[in-house]
Amino acid sequence: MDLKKRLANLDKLSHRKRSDQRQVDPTGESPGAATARAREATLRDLGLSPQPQTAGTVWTRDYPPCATVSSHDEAPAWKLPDLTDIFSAAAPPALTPGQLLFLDTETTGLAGGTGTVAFLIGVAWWTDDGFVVRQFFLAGPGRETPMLHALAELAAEFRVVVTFNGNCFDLPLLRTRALLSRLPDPLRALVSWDLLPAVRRLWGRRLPDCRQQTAEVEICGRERGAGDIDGALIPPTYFRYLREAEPGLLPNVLTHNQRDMVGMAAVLQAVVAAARVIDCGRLATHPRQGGRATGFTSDPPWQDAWSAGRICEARRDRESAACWLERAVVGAGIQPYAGEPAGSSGSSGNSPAVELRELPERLFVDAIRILKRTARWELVEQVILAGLSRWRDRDWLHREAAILYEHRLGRLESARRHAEVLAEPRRLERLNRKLGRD
Amino acid sequence: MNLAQLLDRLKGDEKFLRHVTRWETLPPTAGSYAGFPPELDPRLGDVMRGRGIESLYSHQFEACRLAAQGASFVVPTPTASGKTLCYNLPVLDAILRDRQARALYLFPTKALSQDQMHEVHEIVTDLGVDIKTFTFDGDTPETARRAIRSSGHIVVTNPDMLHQGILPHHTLWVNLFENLKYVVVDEVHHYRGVFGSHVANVLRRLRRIAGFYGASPQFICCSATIANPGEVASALVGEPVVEIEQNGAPRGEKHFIFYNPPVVNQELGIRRSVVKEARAIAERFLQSRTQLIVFARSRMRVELLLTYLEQAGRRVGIKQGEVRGYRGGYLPGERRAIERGLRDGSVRAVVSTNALELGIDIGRLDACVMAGYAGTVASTWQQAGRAGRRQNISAVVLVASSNPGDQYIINNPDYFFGRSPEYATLDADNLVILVSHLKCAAFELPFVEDERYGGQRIDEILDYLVQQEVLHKADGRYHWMADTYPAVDVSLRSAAPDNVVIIDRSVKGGRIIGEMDLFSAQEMLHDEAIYIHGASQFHVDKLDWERREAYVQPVEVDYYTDAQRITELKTLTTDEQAPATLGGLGVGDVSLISKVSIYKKIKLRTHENVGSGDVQLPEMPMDTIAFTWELPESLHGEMASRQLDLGDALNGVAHLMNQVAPVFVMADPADIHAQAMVRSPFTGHPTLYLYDAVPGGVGYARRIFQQFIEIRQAAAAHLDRCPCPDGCPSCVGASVEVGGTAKRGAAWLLARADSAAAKTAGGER
Repeated sequence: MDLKKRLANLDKLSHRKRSDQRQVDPTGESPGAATARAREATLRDLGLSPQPQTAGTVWTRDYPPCATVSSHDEAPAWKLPDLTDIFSAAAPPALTPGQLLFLDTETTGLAGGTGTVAFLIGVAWWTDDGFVVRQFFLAGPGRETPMLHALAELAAEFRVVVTFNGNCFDLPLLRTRALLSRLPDPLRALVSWDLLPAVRRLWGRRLPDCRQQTAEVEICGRERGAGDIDGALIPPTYFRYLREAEPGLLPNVLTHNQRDMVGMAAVLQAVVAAARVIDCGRLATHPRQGGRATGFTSDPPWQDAWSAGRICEARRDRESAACWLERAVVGAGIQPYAGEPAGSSGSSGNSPAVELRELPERLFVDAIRILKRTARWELVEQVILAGLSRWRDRDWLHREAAILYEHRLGRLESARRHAEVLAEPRRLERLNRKLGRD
Repeated sequence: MNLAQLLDRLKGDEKFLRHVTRWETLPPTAGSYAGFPPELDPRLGDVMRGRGIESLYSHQFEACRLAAQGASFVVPTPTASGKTLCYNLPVLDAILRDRQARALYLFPTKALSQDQMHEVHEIVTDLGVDIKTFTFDGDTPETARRAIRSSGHIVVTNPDMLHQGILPHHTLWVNLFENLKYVVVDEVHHYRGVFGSHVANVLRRLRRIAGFYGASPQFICCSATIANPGEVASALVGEPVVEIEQNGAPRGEKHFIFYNPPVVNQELGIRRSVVKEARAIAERFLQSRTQLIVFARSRMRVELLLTYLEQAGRRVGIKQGEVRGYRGGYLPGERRAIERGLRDGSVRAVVSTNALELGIDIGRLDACVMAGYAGTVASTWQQAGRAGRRQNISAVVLVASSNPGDQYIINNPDYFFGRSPEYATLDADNLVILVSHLKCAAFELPFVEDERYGGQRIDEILDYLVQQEVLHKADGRYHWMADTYPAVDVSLRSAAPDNVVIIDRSVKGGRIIGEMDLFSAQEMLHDEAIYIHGASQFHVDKLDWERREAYVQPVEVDYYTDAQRITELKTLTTDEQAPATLGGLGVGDVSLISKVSIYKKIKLRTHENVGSGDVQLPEMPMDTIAFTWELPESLHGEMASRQLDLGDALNGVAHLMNQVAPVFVMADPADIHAQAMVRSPFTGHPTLYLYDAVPGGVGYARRIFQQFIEIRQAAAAHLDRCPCPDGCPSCVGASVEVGGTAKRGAAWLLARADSAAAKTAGGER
């Protein structure tokens, strides 16, 4: 049977019909020379212009400098706070704001893999005049080489690439595209600062999610405004442009990309500011200076204090970590439960703070671990008892309590009560012996 | 009592022998040895000698020599004949020479790849060099993947992972592909039919990607004993593959006993339970203190037999932990412990699914009991290979079930013990499968105009995909331009591009219990159907055809449903024809339009018709390949004069062929459909059609065309031996369905074809 007919029959078997399927030229030719001019006109309408490069033409658009996310309060002598354990890569020495390259791609899909193409690469950086954005647009598949060349040339002037989720998405994608064009990775010489893990580490305990737009609204207080585009519509918009030279929603895609870049700059500034607060917290509460959770320059929500504590812990700065956790515990309203709940029937009049019900168990785990390291025993007891008033049957809390009372506070009776709940005969035996009973 | 004494006793046991259809004694054979090839790195020879291997078997030697010559080859070997060295030695040799060299190992299952890694590890440890071997599959933690991609010398995986996880991300595997020296494909005989046709395309994609990175790997294949290992391996890897014919491994004396349980219902051809019979036989081996493996066909039967054998073991002083079960679903640690126990003898008996049929190292046992035929001769020999130490006597008992396939084998031992009759078939150019993989390939790397894939031009298909708006043609290249990841939509085990998802609605939020291809779904998942899944009954509340979802809920009823499919068959082309003494043979494209329109409710046990209903589902078109046997019109009269009916006889032959033909082409009876027409509108004559029940076909019909005389004679012999009076499901079908004279008519028809053939001495082909 003739192949055409068999292929036509395949259709009947194949997936659910796509609703937007149109009849295409039956010769199977993609839009070719006839629409090349139409596409060019569309690109010009979008504010893009062709830039001749050695490897071919690249369509780019430059935006006028924008002042809203100016870095000039930082420049020229940019003194960065400690960013370890906020970004996974350290800052190169003597970094200036002008050496940061912001980057965001729009792609033909989110699935990843070699078949996903970045059709729009947005880049941005700080100049003396403000924040400038440039976009490279892929006029058609197979024109990637000049675009990647242009990106590599530009990247050579920078030292750090700033992205949102770039470590998992944009950067490997560009690396793959370059490899398929047999080019080196255009960003290989740059240190990567990915804002997504930074946002997660700093504010993940507070935000409903860690998407860029959420961070922009909740952390930076910025709203996007009208004209943005739903991410799911981006690939079909590009496919339609390829087939029909129709701009469709492309103006919105370009705006979306440009706003993403400006938003990233704002988020980076918030990250740097938060890192500075953590630094200040450390300076002011250095144990030898006698300060204890008094010298903070700002008063962050308890979740952020908790996050700061975890970052300090990762940096092995125990004292600062403990200060932050103390802050978090107090801020979260963790109070000791009047009377000891262990073993008792628990129907005494004192009810725990209402907010306690909403606190995650993880906070108690972290607080107890971090506070123990600096021997803040009273506070540890307070956290354990608050925890037990919420989760009566958590063995780990009873174990912490038994150890604390036996070995740190020397209150053997209390220790024994928790040991009884635990049903750990050896511990109980030892306590009974110490208490002089059998 | 030892094994030899037990066998003596069985030989004198009249009651036992009554049900034995064949007792084959395979004599011991000496090994054929050939030292170590001089070109092999001497460190490997030292390690082998350190492990007590003083000399290679001839087939291992040949493998090393062919590898050194740069050839791709296939080693067909029985279980435990040292086949792993046939690939481990060349691969390790290459890596010892060039630390950059890489190899990819493909095994059909995950469990097997785990085990293989273990084995290479041991050799590498003995070598004392830093050669990294990793398993890469769905269980590999994300944190380990980066190291595997960049530094794994040997990456062990399965075709599904290669298809969905590695090839679409090949840029992360630059080190592997740039330096890919060998691809090892083990258990080649598993890659047949639909699965094989898919895997052949995955390997085409692999070669294409390796080519992009400038590598052109050699393929080393291993296979169980089948009739055409070289042919199937070549079709699979897409290049000529040399077949190593001599096997140099020694073998001890082996007794192979075919046991057919007594009939309990003649009309339905039902025999006494295979589980009960296997249990009785296994108990005798247990008593004789031989180390034993029992193979069962399902997980449930494994558990059942395990319970019986534990009880029996206790009676003869075998402790509980000495009889073990082994199947998918057991934890890896538990499995490793059982494997160790089998090797060191602390486990006396194991009941297993076919999980232990593959190359997992459990040493050699004394005896093997198979509760049911393993489905192919190749698998049966693999299972049988579990019994038999080099020097000692061993025994294998195959207990047949009432299943038509089992009955064919048990009654035709010559078929089994002769030269391997099984042809593995695959068709990498099956259009549905080919198109699926061209999408995946385009995703991985744009196609260049005029690029060949699998040796052929594909522009027309690529243009079709442009029309489908998944590819975009620009500057002479076809680029993937869709917002999807095509590999996730292509299952290597299914021929149809689309499936119906089965959802149990009695569970809160709905639970997916399975998937089914569209054709079967029409028959088994229509509204009001009773769908049987994992031995439980489900009522189909609704089949939402548009959404491809069937909503079911568990029920307990005393009937099952049987949907009637009406198939309209249209001959499109005849590719090949051959004269037959009785009529003529042909093979070519057919177009089928089938529709399920009614179903019957049939009471369990009594098989009474207790109701029926309409089915409202769209017609299903399918293009496939059919074999035809066209018969002369004159048979009508000839048969009528003998009080036989041609229509009934033809239906009977169709049913019979549907049981016998799959055995020869290594297919499942469900993979092939048979249809008889008293007057075909295309041939104008009585015609029998046998076609691939897979869109586009995967080569079964063509193979039947080539093997027809053999298959027809086997069918006649099988019919002759079937003890039923007027037909049963094992032969021509139950007489109530095919008519009272069907069995006699079919026998007459087949004899007539044979005698006609005899008259003109083989002129049929």
